[in-house]
Amino acid sequence: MNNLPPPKPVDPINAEFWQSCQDSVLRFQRCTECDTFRHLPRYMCYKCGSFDYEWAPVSGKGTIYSWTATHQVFHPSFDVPSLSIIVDFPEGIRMVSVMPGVKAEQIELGTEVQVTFKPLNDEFVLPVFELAQ
Amino acid sequence: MNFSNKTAIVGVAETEYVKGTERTAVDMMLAAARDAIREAGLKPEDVDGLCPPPVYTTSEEIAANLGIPVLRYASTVHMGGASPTTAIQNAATAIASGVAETIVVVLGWNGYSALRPKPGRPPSRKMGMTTLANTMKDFYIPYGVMLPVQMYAWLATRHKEMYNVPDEAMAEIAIACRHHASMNEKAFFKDRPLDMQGYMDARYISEPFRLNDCCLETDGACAVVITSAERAKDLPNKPVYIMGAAEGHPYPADDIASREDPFKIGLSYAAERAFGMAGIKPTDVDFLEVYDCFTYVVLLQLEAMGFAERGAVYDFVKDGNIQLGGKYPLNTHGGLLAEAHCWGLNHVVEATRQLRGECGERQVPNAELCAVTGWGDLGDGSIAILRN
Repeated sequence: MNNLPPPKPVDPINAEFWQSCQDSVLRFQRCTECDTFRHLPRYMCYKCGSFDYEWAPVSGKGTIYSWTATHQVFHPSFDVPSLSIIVDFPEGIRMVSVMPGVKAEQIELGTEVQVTFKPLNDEFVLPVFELAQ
Repeated sequence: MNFSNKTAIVGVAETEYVKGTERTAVDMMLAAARDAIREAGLKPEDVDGLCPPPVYTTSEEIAANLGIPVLRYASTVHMGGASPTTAIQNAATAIASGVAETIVVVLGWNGYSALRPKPGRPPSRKMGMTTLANTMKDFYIPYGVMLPVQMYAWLATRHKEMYNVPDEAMAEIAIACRHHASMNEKAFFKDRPLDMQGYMDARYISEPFRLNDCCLETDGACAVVITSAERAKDLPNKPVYIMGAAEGHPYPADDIASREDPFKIGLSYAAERAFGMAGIKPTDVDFLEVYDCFTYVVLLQLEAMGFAERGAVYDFVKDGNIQLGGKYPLNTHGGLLAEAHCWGLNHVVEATRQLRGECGERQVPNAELCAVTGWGDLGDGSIAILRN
């Protein structure tokens, strides 16, 4: 698992994403006009053009879309190997995350995963993933 | 407007390619630009357009140093490693439409030294690349994903798992580039041969990428001079005509994770247009110069251009098909993997020299047609079709 500092976005909608999950519930932007989920955070809905949205909770269950196990140390606080993944959600969106303590041999395309929350310090939890129960 | 065959590359030059230099990126770019203009048989005052990279400098700075008093066209492309080849397109359109007559495309950076500053000597300038900075800073780096090798590994993993592509396909790219570099005095890896066993034995950087799937990090610069086909006739070098060129962007371009089809890359959009403009089929080319920051990126681009069906690229790259002597020699200078990392403008320089017939031991016999590609910023693509 990496021990990098928590993200500190300058951009307000990017900051809202991380704020929205600090109660350990994963949320994504959802258009309040047409109900389309989106991620990365965007200012407007690419489907209907609306600027109105909410941070809607999701189950946090998804499947492995791709992965890489990184062996090279690129940052002093970055433990290797680290398994970084792209998660595919039933809501029609994907996100980048990691699976602490999981090896590449344990997953394949489509493996079911579940969000969990790792405290990085007293004030910030990072959504990461584990194998689904 | 169709700019096919209305412009030509008439001058090329590069600095030496090294790991570690006292020279700044601007210094090296000016040297390459000056030498390319001279090589074209021109003077700086003959140049009226500049396409510098999206980092380290500006057109105004280059014009002031070189002595270009009348600058009619100054354009900077923000497509990462795809920028220089897109700049070839922009230069061709500007010249063909009469906006400018002679344009220098230049690229240089401290690809090695900037990442390894000497104690007490901080880099004089930051690279200043802003494209994708927010996506990476806010959503990838918090998970320890901070470099292209990791992001492109996601593309590679998905593709190789979906289509059962063997690691040997990646190895063929690395081995071909290293083989070609052995015939190139300028190549950083001139004396570093690589075989299949050596490829497989190397350590992983970020799976499936082993050490030799990753390109060089070097300091250096190169430059290319483009002018009208009309003017090119009166200049000393054999003109290398721009038959077609195009750029393309995946959707969304700023997030590699959320694309509906991750293998629909920028080049998937650009290749058909460029070959269409040129009036040739991809298989008509005599050799290929394909942007090779990582081996798998080459495989994806070969499929995007139509040299293989989706997932079938191993059949195209095996059995020496992409080595000199094969049907489609690829990266005849060694590419980013074995010559130097100059954002693929070194691919344009090599294509030009091949089409002039200047490449000696590594010359492609009867070279007449070439496709050069660029790749950058999570899959932006560009392509130029060149002929002599």
